[in-house]
Amino acid sequence: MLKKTIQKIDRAFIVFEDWSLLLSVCIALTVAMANVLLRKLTNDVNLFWSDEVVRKTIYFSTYIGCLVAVRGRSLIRIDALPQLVPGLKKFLNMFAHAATLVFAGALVYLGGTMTIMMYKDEYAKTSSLQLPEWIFYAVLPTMGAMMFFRTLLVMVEDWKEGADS
Amino acid sequence: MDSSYLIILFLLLGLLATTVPVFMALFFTGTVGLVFMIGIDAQIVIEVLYRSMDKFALVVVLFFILCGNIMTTGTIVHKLIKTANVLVGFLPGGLAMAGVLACGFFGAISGSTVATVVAIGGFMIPALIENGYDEKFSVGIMTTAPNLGIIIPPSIAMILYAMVSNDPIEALFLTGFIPGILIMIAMSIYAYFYCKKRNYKTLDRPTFKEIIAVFKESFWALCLPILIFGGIYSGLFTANEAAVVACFYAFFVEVFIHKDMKLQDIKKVIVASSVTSATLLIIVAGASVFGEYLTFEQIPNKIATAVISQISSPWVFLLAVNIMLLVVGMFMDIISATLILTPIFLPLLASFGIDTMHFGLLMTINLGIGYCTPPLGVSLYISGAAVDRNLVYVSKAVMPFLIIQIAILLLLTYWADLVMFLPRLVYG
Repeated sequence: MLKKTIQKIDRAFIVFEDWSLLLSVCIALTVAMANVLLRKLTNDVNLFWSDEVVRKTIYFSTYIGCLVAVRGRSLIRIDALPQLVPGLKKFLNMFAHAATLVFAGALVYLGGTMTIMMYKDEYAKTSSLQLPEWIFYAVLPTMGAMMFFRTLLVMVEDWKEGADS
Repeated sequence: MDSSYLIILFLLLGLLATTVPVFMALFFTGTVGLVFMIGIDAQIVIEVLYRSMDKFALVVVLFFILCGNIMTTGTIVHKLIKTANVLVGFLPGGLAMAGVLACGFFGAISGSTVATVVAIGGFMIPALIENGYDEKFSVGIMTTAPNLGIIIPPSIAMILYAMVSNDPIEALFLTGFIPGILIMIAMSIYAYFYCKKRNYKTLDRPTFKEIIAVFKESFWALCLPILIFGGIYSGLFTANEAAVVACFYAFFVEVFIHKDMKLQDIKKVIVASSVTSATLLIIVAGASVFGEYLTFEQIPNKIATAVISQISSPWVFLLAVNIMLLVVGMFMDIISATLILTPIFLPLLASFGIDTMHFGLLMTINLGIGYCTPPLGVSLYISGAAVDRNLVYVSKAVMPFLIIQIAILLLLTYWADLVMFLPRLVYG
């Protein structure tokens, strides 16, 4: 039962991650291109909010992409030590996962506190679109929670496979 | 030295050595420094994580990665290789030269060494061996030539360097052309004499009709670098906009003209590119937290003062920096090294009268060479996998080509006018 629930959550995360990445990059690309075309083809029409949309989508896609990288174990790390001392590989792998859990926890706690603070501040809005800033701060604790869950799954997988991955 | 600095240094090195992801190592170290050593409110790290990603300049990294991935998924890469082959393939060592030239073409679009070694090396190494070239030579040249990917602009490493140094990215890009061409020429000359001595078979000289046919086939692919650089340096668009336009162009060509990319491939390419970009950009966030600590403690200035009291000659300084960067490049990837070391070196440059753009180029080449040096040269592993050879074999294979690149690096180190020729010509 627990296993099935976890698998369901995991699959839902994968769908969310993939589609939100696709969507955010498409939005950034389209808005940036539209701005270039409008500026070049007309003299005075300019999407004043385009920079902000692109910046926010890149911010969003970076943190969500980071989650996918945890799933794919593709975060950049220096793996000289396990190559020089293969016996340490499993221990180091688990240590790195533990560090990821601490990082995810810090994001949930600190990011959550910051999001609440921003939520209470009615003047905290983005410069162009006047969107509440807390929406964007909320990406950090959300990502932290998802990263925590994902890292636990990866940790269990690696433990079972003898950290071969 | 203050003991707190030593603790921070050992914490950073310890976390990096224990395979903690680079951005987390930087985040933890910066957070410990800011919160526990200086006593600043922990919320500042969240603010830095948020603000560091809220920059329009970062869009270039994602979009140039996307552009490179579109080309690799479609057939633009093969068309570039074909064009390079028709231009130099008939000379002694021609196929190897074509590989080097193709890396230059690809580098003029993608901006990443790893993308270049996968896209060009993965195709050219088997092709060279099939055509009778020595395996070691083939592996050596096609592992090191992809360094052109980050030297010839657009270059992801240069983009991140420019973010830290505040140099205009368009001008910084210009510093990479002459060094890139020099490396291409030097490697091609080596290939020419190496292959001539061993009497490797050459391809037939193409007829004019064949050349025209290949150029016609590759027309749309060849327009891509022209679009990027023509657009940037004619003032039509900025480097950021060039990345966006290049992506649209590459999509359009692959989907509607070459028809080599299906709509369902688009999702895969975009997701893969976003993840690659995220793994790089997240280091910017970690490095920003660490950078905040460095700034609060004024560590770069303190290091600058200490170095200046020991070294007075810019020549000695540059030599020491080159050696240090070559060693760092052996263990650390170029993005992390650029983001960690640039803020430390920057205050020193003015004292020695070194141009920040000249230094950016040297840093890029130095760390680029790190992709081909053991124990952590990513290119060594990719090429080794292509021919099923171990690290020692590939490391030996790249030696002659590394010597060539290091020689050019030294030339560029002490001939700043050569590096700065194009930026001065264009921007005065």
